[in-house]
Formats: sequence, structure tokens, C-alpha cells
Amino acid sequence: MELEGRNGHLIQSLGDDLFKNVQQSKILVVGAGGIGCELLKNLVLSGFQDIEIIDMDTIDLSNLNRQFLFQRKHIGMSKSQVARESALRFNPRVNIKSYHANIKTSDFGPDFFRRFTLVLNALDNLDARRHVNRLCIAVDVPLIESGTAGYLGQVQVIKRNVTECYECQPKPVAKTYAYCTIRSAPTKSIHCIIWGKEELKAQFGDVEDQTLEDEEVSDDPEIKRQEDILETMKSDYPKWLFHKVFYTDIFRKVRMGEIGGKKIWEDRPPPIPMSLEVALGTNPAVESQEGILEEQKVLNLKQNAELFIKSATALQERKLKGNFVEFDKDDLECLQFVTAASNIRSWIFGIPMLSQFEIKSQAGNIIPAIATTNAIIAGMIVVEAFKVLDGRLQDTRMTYLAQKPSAGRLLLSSQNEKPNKNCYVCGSNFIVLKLNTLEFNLKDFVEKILIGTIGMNAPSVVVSDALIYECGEGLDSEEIAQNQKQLKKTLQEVRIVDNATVDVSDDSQELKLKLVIVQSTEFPGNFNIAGEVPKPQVLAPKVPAKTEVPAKIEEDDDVQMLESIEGEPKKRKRDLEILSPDPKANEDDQSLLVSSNVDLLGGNKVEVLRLEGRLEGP
Amino acid sequence: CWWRTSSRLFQRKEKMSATNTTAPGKKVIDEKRYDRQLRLWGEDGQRRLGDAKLCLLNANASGTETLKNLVLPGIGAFTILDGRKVDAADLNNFFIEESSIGQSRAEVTTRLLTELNTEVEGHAVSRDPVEVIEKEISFFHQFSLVIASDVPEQPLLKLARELQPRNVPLVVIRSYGLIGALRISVAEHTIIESKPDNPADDLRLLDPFPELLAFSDSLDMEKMDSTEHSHTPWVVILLKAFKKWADEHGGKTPSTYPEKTAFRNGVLKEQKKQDEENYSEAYKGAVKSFERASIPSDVKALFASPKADHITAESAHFWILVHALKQFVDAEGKGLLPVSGSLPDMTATTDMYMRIQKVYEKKAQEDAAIFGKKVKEILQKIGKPTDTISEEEIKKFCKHAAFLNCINHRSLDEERNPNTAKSSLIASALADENSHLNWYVALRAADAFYTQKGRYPGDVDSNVAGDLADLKQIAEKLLQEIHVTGTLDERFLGEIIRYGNAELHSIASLIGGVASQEVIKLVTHQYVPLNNTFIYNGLNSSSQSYQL
Repeated sequence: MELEGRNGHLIQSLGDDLFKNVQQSKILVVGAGGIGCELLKNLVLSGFQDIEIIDMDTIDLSNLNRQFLFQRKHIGMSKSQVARESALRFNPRVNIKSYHANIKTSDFGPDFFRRFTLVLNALDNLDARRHVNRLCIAVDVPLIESGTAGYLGQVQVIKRNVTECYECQPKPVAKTYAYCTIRSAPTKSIHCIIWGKEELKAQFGDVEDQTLEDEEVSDDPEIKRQEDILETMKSDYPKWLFHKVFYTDIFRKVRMGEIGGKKIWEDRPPPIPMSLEVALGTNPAVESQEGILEEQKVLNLKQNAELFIKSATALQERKLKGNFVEFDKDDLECLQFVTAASNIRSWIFGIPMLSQFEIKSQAGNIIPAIATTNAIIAGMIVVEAFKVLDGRLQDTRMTYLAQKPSAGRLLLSSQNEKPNKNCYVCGSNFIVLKLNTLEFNLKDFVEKILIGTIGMNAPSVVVSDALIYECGEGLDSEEIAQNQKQLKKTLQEVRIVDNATVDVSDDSQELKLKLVIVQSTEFPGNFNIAGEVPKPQVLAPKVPAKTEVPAKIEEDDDVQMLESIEGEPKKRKRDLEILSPDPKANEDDQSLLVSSNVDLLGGNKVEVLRLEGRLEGP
Repeated sequence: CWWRTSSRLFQRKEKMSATNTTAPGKKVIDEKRYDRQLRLWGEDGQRRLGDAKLCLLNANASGTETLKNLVLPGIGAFTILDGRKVDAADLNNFFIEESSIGQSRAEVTTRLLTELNTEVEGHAVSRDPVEVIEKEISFFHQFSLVIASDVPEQPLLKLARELQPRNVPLVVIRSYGLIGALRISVAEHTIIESKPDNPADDLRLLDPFPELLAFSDSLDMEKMDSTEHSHTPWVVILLKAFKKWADEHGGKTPSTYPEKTAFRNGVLKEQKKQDEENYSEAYKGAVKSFERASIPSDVKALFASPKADHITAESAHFWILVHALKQFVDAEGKGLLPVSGSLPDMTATTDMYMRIQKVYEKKAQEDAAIFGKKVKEILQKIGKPTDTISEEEIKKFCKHAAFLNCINHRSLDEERNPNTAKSSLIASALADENSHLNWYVALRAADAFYTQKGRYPGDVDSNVAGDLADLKQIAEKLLQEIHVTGTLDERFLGEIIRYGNAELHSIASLIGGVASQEVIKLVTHQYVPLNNTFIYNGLNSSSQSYQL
């Protein structure tokens, strides 16, 4: 057997037939981050000739500890383009096409996906994963899904009608926090961090955001007096802002508790209003933090106050120049503002303050990421790709990489599960939706349920053959105006009523669903969905069999960190109680959808087939 | 729930005495570049990586991939020892360009690898590793870890014999067609931070130290208002409950299942109102608290080692510390390890949390002081300066006393010696076609084939049928030598011949990933490394590790 240069090793081990299939295949790689870099390298060295790669991100310094196709000189450039150029340098005999774009845009619809033999996901978020999954199911192109987090990783092969799809098992949902907790009664550091991010958006962002504003107006002379004092400070914006959020607003909260007879502070120590003068005057003895890495130091109150003024001044300058700010964990001024704001608020509410390093982790949902794990996972992806291209779908495996061997196994592999016939993406296309049709308007129905929870991109809604809402590009101004009018109506008004069947479709995902509506007043502001085939009158949710499928692991960087459905027994209990009135259901009806940092291992057992959504408050 | 206090803030204190980042002679860590990994192994781990000097024998695809994953996170320095010139077959290696055919493989790969991270020192030595092993074995003394790839069996054994007594880890990697393998050998690898998945909290609820008991007794739950009552840490609730139980049961603790159930229900009955969060935490926490504090088996094994008893001036710091720990346990510790001082998050007011935290912390500091004194006494006794082991090191050791570990890998010679080989393990594998050890035997046969003929079976220009017959014979002989009856299924050998020592990039990438991960564990002394052989089968994407 003669080694034929570059491909000698491959032909020898794969055999002629598979090698030919590999050469003739057309591959789409979605994502050029940690896994994407490894994967692209593996592909160009494994005989693949025709590869397209897409990523919307640019290169950041913190990528360089693993995304080896990028170097310092590439910071700020397009990931997909640099990845392409770096890979071609090592194997110029491959065709690589790169797109610096969002996979969810209409350029990459069903017709785009249909051109590929195989799609390989190297993504970092649930949203895009769901989108790609739907397109691959729709056009029946096999998909290999993957993810890593720290020392953990996993690979899964998806093929319509043969294996489970990405959405056959419920995915971890983003953790939500009640508005009132964030606005008035934080108890954990994360609450203050979220508040800091919201405050950043409200003060320096592009939108008028009243999320954090207390609506309680008071005639109390004490409060009035404080508000007048605040008014006099308007000329110095950073100082005014400090005084407003850390003194006046807090003062009002405490005072309202005192005078209103509300038992707000009965169960907890009241917060302490903090003025800038007092904060700057404090000089509590701090232990020497010599030798700790700069970002890992925990600043004291005075230092946080200084940081707050410094970052607020800088951000205000940016805003005045028309550069509105959006939270970005790699934008130092943003991070400093959130750190200082969150820490001062923590102090006020008696919550421990944290280092910038830790706050960055929680605010930016950072998952530790290293080259080694990505290398292992990308190697496994190509091994699975070989099986798919060899027509051996039955031999593909769902594989997990563990931190250390358990029972001698570092890689745990299992047979692919059969498709879930109740899955609304690849199975039944049915969803039972319980909600109050008198209370929900069409806007919330579209934005919170169809887009936010079901994961649609550009949905259209049809009731009894009448188109009641259309989303998407190419609408004329009249249609847009019509839509706006429609969106304000309640569901009842657009004939989405009890027992109605709503046809919802999304051309960009080639997804058509039937939503069966069940009128319910049990969860004011809430809704409940289940991907099951409806049975007449019997709507009692079934408790699914226990599965051992680990929650999906997100890919490394810039991740929207998701919290797994926690506490199985509790959750199950809750699931069964859905039909009985839940007294707590309306306590937290206003909630912010925020992701949170959790240990992925903790969420390994996903048991609930139900996704619960919450309506964001007005 | 209100007022859940995080222990994170307090944990920071331990870090405060860490080494100064700007101390002379120490590199400043690039926090931004290494942000994502600092979150995994911390500053200490990053420093140890930065201090490591590695050597790679042969920059083939799997060797280069392994190094790539170590250059990226910032290993200190590497040397590539490789006498080959680049040829077309090397184009399965990403760090070789077509234009470099004919050049030194060591130089080409070193140049491209250092491009990945300019902070890493790379050296190329264009010499045949086999020749260096045979003629100049002391070359390897300069390294803190050696990675060997594609080194024939006999020189490999010689290298292993050289590294073993020096306690330098040897990592042997292999990517052979669709099969990957890894063998780690280090005579003694000691670990202070083993980082178990679910470490038990060191709360001493059944064996409270006097100060803890006094603290618990000082709180009168009867007299508390509802806020205080629902914010008393669950630890206190249990301490009181255990004391009460002992008073009512002749000094005993709940031991049978019905007793434990009764105890837990009793705890819940003490609530002032329904659903007090701290009481449900106590109810949950009770399950883990029924076990008395004891010394973990890994630590007991350390105490049993002769090295923990015979301390000399040559003893490693680790063993001096273990010796001192043993003394502590036998004397002041009254059979227990020093108190760790860390407390999990729990429902409590910040004030209450800090008070109880202080009780544990104070005890931990006292224990650590006693332990530190013992260490110094031992150092004095063996004629070494008392600051030989830094305060920092002593504190860290004391803090992690429950998670100490020591791995002794069997040597490559022990694996091969007929008297010490794992013959019965291998024999049972031959009867099970799913066992990865079949691949192990097949690879060993391929090595023996190479030793005999100077080429791998099924390699270039060879007679496949003839090779199969020879390989079969070689495998049989190999099994006989280690007293294994039974034969290896011919299909495994056939597959090995088909591969002909070809390296598939994706398998090389995977093995390189696993190998570098283990190297990081070895270098940082965090987590427990593989012991000692890992085999990956790409035919069905499965793996298994064995102690061979």
C-alpha cells in the first residue's frame, strides 16, 4: 500500500469508499470559536474538500488561550474569516467559504441548509442551537451537535426520524428572577449584579428603561425633602446618580416601610442609605491584598464609590457623544460600573461584596474554557462524522467527556435515543398551551411565547384559516401598521380562545406547529406549554420516565449560561400540581429573564417535559 | 429565602497571602488572556504551568497536538526532540506546511507552535530521540515532564527507567489508525488539591469541639423572635438536636434507620412556623451529619506509607507534612484531622453567619498553628532551617488535609515483567470482544513486530497476508510470555495491519486532548490523574482505562 502523500494515512485507515464520501461531502460548520477552530483544523486534515463556516463574532483577547487559529494581531477581526485564512495556510487544497454573519438571518434558510451533506454545530448558545436543529430536521440533513464547559463536553448525532433531535429532551431554561427582588429586596450577590446591569442599561443605554423605577409616589414630607435635595445635585451627573440610587431611592424604601405600615422590613434588617460623602469618608481596615491578581481583589466601600464615579463619568461622556452602551463583559468601563454599582448595593443590603473577577463571571455568564476539552470533543465530532458519511447511523453514539474516569471510563457513550414522538419539532408538531386568553395580548403571545419560549425566529399566526399576524421581511408599510394594531389586541379579540387550534409557522425554520389553546386563569401572567398530542378533556400532565440524559452543555465562550431545571422532586411535584391552583403563582409575576451561573454537572438529570414561561411585566 | 450568605467573600482571605505577582523573577500572569482557564485552576495552577519544562519526543500529529494544547494555556517551555525531515505523510499534522517538506520536523513544528503563544519558550533539537536515549540519556534530566510519541519499545523502556527514579512523569501517547492510547508513568505523584466532585463539609456536628459546642449553647432558640429563629444556621439547629438526643438516649447518637428518621422529624417539629428555610436545611443536612468525622481512606493510606514514618533530610516536603499531620492526629486532633474552617452557604443573617464562621475559622487557625509548629519541630530535628517549608505551603496543606492523595503508577517494566504483569486481567479480556484490552495486546504485538523487523505490520510495501501470520505468531508469543492462555481474536490484528501505523488527524487530536489534559493535572498537582493506561476505540467511540 503506497502512502499517497497528504491523504495516505486517511485512505489506509478509512478505506477507499469512505474516503471518497468524505472528499465529496459538503460540510457546514456553525461557529468558529473554541470547538469551531479545532473542528476546522480536523476537517482540513481529514480529507474534507468543501467546507463552509459561519460565525458572527469577532476575536477577543480572552479567546486566545484556546482558539488557536487566532493570534494577538487578529483581535477585533472576524472569527470566521481569520479561521478560514489560518486553516488554508496549512492546507491550501481545500475550499473553505466563510460568512461573518448570524446564522438566524434569512440568508441562511432552508435552501441554504439543503446544500450540505452534513452540518456540524460548534455553537455557544441554546437559541442558535435550536434554530439550526429545526432547519436540519426540516430539510433532513444530518447534524452533529456538541458543547464543552471546563473539563466537560459532549457530542450528539441528530438525524430526522432516526435519532432524537436537539429538542426532544427539554433544555435547561434560563433562570428568572422576580422584578421585586431585583428592584427592592435583593438577597444574593447575583440580584445586585443584575440590578447593576439594568441600571447600566437604563442610564447609558439607547432605550428609555423604567424597569427599575419605583412607581410609588409619596406625599411624605421626609421623602419630599430628600427628593428636593437630590434635585439640587443635577448639575453633576455621576454624583447625582450615586445619590439617587444609593441614598434617595433607598431612603424612600425604608421610609415607605415605616410610614406605610407595610411589613417590608419586619423579616429582615432594613437597607442603609449611603451618600457619596459617607462612602468616600469610610476607610475600613482591609486586610492586605498584596499578591492577589488585580481583578481578584475585593474593593472596599470607598474604592467602589470611587470606581462608580470614575466609570459613570466615562460612560456619560460616551453617551453624550452618542455612543450608547450595552453591557459587554469585555468592555472595561461597563464591567467597572456594574462591579461598583453591584458592590455598593450589596453593602447597603448587607450582602458580601465580590471581586471584579467574580462579578465578571456572573454578569457575563462566563464558563471556564480550555483547549484540551475542545480538542477531545472536536476529535470525536469527526469520528462521528465518518460514521454518518459511511452510512452507519446505527453506529453513532451520544458521547460525554467526564472530568475523570468513572468506572474506568473518561468518555461515556450511549446508544442514540429514538425520536420523541411528542417532540413539537421533529414529532407531533402539537403544543398544548394553557393561558388566560383575556389577559394576554397578541404581542406577548408572539414575543414571549412563540419567540421567547418556543424559539421561533419569524412566526406567522393563523386562526381558522385567517392570517392574524405575520412576521418577517418584505412587509409593506400598510401590513406593518396592521400588525401593530393587531399586536395590541388580547388573544380573545383575535379569536385565540379556549379550544381553538392556532396554526403557527416560521418559514425561516420550516416549522409548522399547531397550538391547542386551553383557557386558564390559574397562573395570572403565566403560561404553560407541553409538547404533547392533546387528548380530549384529559389534560393532566404526565410525568415522563426518568432519563439519565445530561443537560446540554454549552460551548465555551460568550455563553448565555443556562440554569438547568433544578431540584427534580420539587419540580415534579410542581408539575403535578399544575392543574390545582398554585397560590404562589402570582407572587413573582413580574420577572426578569436572566441567565445565571450554575454548575452544569448539577443539572444532569432533566426530567420535566414541560417548559414554564413567565410573562415579563409591563 | 432571605439572607443567604455566601462564604465566597471569606474564602478570599486565604488567597490574600498568595505569592506576590510582581516579585522579582516571577512572570506576571496575563489575566485577560488566561481569564477562562484561571477560573478553572487558579493562580497557583497557572504558575505551576508557567514553571514547567516539557520535552516531546517526535513531533508527529498526536505529539504536536498534545503540545499545542499546552502552549495555548501557557506552559513555561518545551523542547521538541525529533530527527526526522518533514515528508508528505506529515501533512496530517496541522503545524506543518506543505512548503516545509524536507526541513527539520523539530524546527518547523517548534516555530509554528511558538507562534500560538509568544510567552512560551520553544526549543528544537533535530536529533533522533532513539539515538539520544541510547547515547546521552542525561539530556532528559533538564525536564519536569516528558511526552513520548512513536518511540520503539526498547528505547522507551530505557527512557522510562531513567525517569522513574527521578520522579519525572512520562506520558506515552499513541494514535494508530482508529485506535488511540495513553500511558502515564510517574513513580510518585502527590496531590494536595485533589478537588473531589462532592466534597463533604467538615462540620463536626457529632463531635463538636468545645468552642463550637459553647457557641451553640450560648444561643437560646426559645427566646428568639421569629426573624432570629428562622435565621439561625442549620448547623446550630443540629448541634442542639444531637445534644438533646444524647441527653435523652444515654449519650448515644441516632444510629438505626428508625432512629434517624425520628431524629429528623424531631428537628422539623422545633419550627416556630411552617416552612422555616433553615429547618428544612437542617432536615436535609442531617443525612450527611450522622456519620462521625473520620480520616478519609486516601489519607489513611498516606499514613500507612513507610515514607510518612521515616523522615530524613532528603524527605520531600509532602512527606514531612504528612508526618506532621499524623502526629497531629495522634495527639491534639484526638484521631481527627485539623478543622478545615470552611463553611457552606446557609440561611442566616450576615451577622450570625459571620459569628459561626469565626468559630470554625478560629479553630482551624489554632489547629493550623499546632500543625505548623510540628512541621517546624520536624524540620529542626532533621537539621533543616525551619522556614524550608513556607507558611503558605503549610496552611494550604492543612486546609486540604482531607483531600490529600498520592498516586504510584506501575512502571513500564512492571507492566511487561512476566512476574508482575496483569496476566489474569488480560486473559479475561481475550474472552470479551468488547474489551479494550484486545487493542492493547494488538498494539503491543505491533510494537514487538517493529522491534523484530524495523517496520510496522501493514506498513509501506509490505505483504499483508504474510504480516498477519507473523503478527499472529508474535501476539501468541507475547501472551505466552506473560503466562496468558488464550489467543487474541484475529480481527483485531487484521485491523491493526490495515492501519499500518497511519495517524488519523482526528484521533491524534483526541488523544492529544486527553494527553494534554492529563499533563495539566500532573503539572498543576490539581485533580487526580489517570492511573495508568487509557485506550480509545474510534470504531465505536468508546474508551476505558486500566491499571496495567
